[in-house]
Amino acid sequence: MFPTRKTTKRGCGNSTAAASAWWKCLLLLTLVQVVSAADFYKLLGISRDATLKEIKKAYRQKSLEYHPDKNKEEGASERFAEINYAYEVLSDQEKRDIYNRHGEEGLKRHEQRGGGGGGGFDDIFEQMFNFGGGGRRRGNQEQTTPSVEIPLHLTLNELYSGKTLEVKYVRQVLCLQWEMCVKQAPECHGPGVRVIRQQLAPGFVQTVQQADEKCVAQGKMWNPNCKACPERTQSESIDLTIEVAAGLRVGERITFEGVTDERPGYKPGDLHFVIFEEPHADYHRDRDDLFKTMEIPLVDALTGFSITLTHLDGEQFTVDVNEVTDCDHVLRVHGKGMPRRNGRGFGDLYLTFEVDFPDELSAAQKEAIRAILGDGSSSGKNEEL
Amino acid sequence: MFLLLTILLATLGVSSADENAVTCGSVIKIQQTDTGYFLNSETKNLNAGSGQQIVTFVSDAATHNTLWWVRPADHATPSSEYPAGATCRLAEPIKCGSLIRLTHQSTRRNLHSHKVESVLSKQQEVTAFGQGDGFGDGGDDWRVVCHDKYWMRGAPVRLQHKDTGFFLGTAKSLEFNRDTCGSHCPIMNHLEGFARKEEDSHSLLKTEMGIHISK
Repeated sequence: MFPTRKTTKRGCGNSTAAASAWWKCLLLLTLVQVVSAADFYKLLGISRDATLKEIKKAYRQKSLEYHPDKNKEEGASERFAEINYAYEVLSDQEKRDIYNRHGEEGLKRHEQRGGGGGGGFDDIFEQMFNFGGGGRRRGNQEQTTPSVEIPLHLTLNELYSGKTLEVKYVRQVLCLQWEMCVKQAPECHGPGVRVIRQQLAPGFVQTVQQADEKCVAQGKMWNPNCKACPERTQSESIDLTIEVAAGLRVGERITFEGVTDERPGYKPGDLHFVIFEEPHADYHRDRDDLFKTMEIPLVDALTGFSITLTHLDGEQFTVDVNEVTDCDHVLRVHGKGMPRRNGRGFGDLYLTFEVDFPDELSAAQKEAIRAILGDGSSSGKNEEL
Repeated sequence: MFLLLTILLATLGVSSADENAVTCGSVIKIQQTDTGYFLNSETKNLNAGSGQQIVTFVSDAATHNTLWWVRPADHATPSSEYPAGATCRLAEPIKCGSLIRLTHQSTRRNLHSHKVESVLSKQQEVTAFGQGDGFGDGGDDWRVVCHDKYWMRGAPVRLQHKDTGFFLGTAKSLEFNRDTCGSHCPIMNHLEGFARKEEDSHSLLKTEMGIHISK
C-alpha cells in the first residue's frame, strides 16, 4: 500500500547477506583481524537473550578493555566504537527488536525514518567530545517532527477530471511566547537529551546521555512554571485545500510543507497526501493510457461497426470501424486516454475486441455463408497430412 | 411562540450537522474525556498478554504517534480501499452506529482487541495488530456509538469492539511507572488502553485534533 521505502522484508534477505559477505571477507583477509559488526551480541560477549543488566555489565567490561586511553593496539578505537554502538542498540528494546529481526540494515532504515529521534530511553554511553575515535553520534542539528503521509484513494473518474478536497487541520503549535519560557541550561544537549558525567571506574569519567523531557534544544531547558506559556504547545486550526490535478498518477503526492505538530526545539514536518487509484469496472489505466476490452459479434467483426462509449467524465464518444476486425484486435483510439499532467493533451485508449463466435449455425446459414465466403477446404481436394 | 422557536432552533441544528462531523479517510487524534490523554501506539511490544504492539494513552498532544486513519470496517483487498458495500467512503461523515477500522498512521497496524487479559487492569487487552501494511483481521472492527446522526468533532462517543462488545477506554490509575513497569520503562507515564464491558466515563472519547478531510 505504501511506497516501497517502508518494506517489511522479513529476516532472510538482509542479515544473511551481511553474514555471507563477512565470510567472504574473512577468507580474503585471513591475516588481518576483521572487526565484524555483524553480531552485536558476540561483540559484547553475551547471549541473544541477555537481560538488560547482563548487557550493561558486559558493556562496562568490554568498553574498559578497548578504551583507547588504555588500549593502544591497532583497531582498538574502531572496536570501541563498535561496542558503543552495539550497546546503544541492545539496551533499547525497540532498536534491539529491529536489530534482531532485520539486522543492521533494518536499524539504518529505522534511523533514516527518524525513528528514535535524539536520545533513547536508556543511558547511552558516549565518548568524550575531544575524543575523535569514531563512534556514531546521531546529529542533533535542527530536527523536524516526523512527516505525516495520508493515502487518498480516488476513483478513475476523479483522477480523470481532477478533484478538490477541503481539509481542516487541527494541530499543536508552539505557545506564542514560548521563547520566554526557555532558560539557559548547559547540560541540555538537544531536544529531550541531557548530558551528565559519570564515573565508569576510578580514573575513568565519561559523559552519559540521558532522556530528559525538560531539555528542548542545545543549552536550553523549559521552565515549567513559566506563566507566559502554561503548556508548551496549544491547539490551532488551519484550512488547507487539496487540489488533485487531472491526470495524477498512483504514488504521486500533494505536499504541504512545515504544517505538522510543532514542538520546542523541532521544526514542523510536512504533510503528504499520496494518490492511490480505486479499480474501475470498465477501464484499466497504465500511466496516461486507458485500456478496455469489449466483445463484438462475428458479423460486426466481419462487416464493420460503430459503438458509442461513455468516457470517465460521463461524455459519450463514438468509435467507427470499417474493416474486418481480427480476433483480439487492439484498436488505438487517439486522445481518449487520461489527461497528461503537463496539460498537453491526453494519452490514448486501447480497445481490445474479443470476437464472439455464434454457438451454432443452421444448415441454411452455413450454405449461405459458403456462398458468400467461398468453399474453403471442403472443395473435395485431398490434403496430405 | 416558544414552540416555534424550539422548532426553528432544531431545524437550524440539523442543517449544519455535517460540517463538523468526523469523516472517513481522515487521520485523527482521539482523547479520553476524563484524562484528556490521547490514544497512542508505537513500535513496542509488551512482554505480557499477546505480545502484540502496544496501545496506550499519552498526555503529549504533539506526537505523531497519536494519529489514527479512519477507514471502512473489514474492507476487502489491497487493490480497493472503498469496495462496493464499504461501511464508509472518502470524505463522507461517519454515521453513528457504523463500523470502522482505525489504522495507526505511522506503524500501519490496526486498533484491535481480543479475549486476552490486559496487563495492568486485567480487563480486555487492546493492541495494534497486523503486519504493518494496514491489513489485520475481524478483530479490528469497532462500532462508533453515539446518539446524533453523525460522529461529531468534540462530542463524546464510545468505540465498541465488534467481536466482543467491549468499550475502549483508559483510567488515570492505570499508569505505567517505576512501580508497575520499572525505572527504565519505555512507556513511562503512559496509561493502559483496555476494552471493558461497562459503559461509563472511562470509555468516553472525543476527537478534535487531526487532519479532517471533507468535500
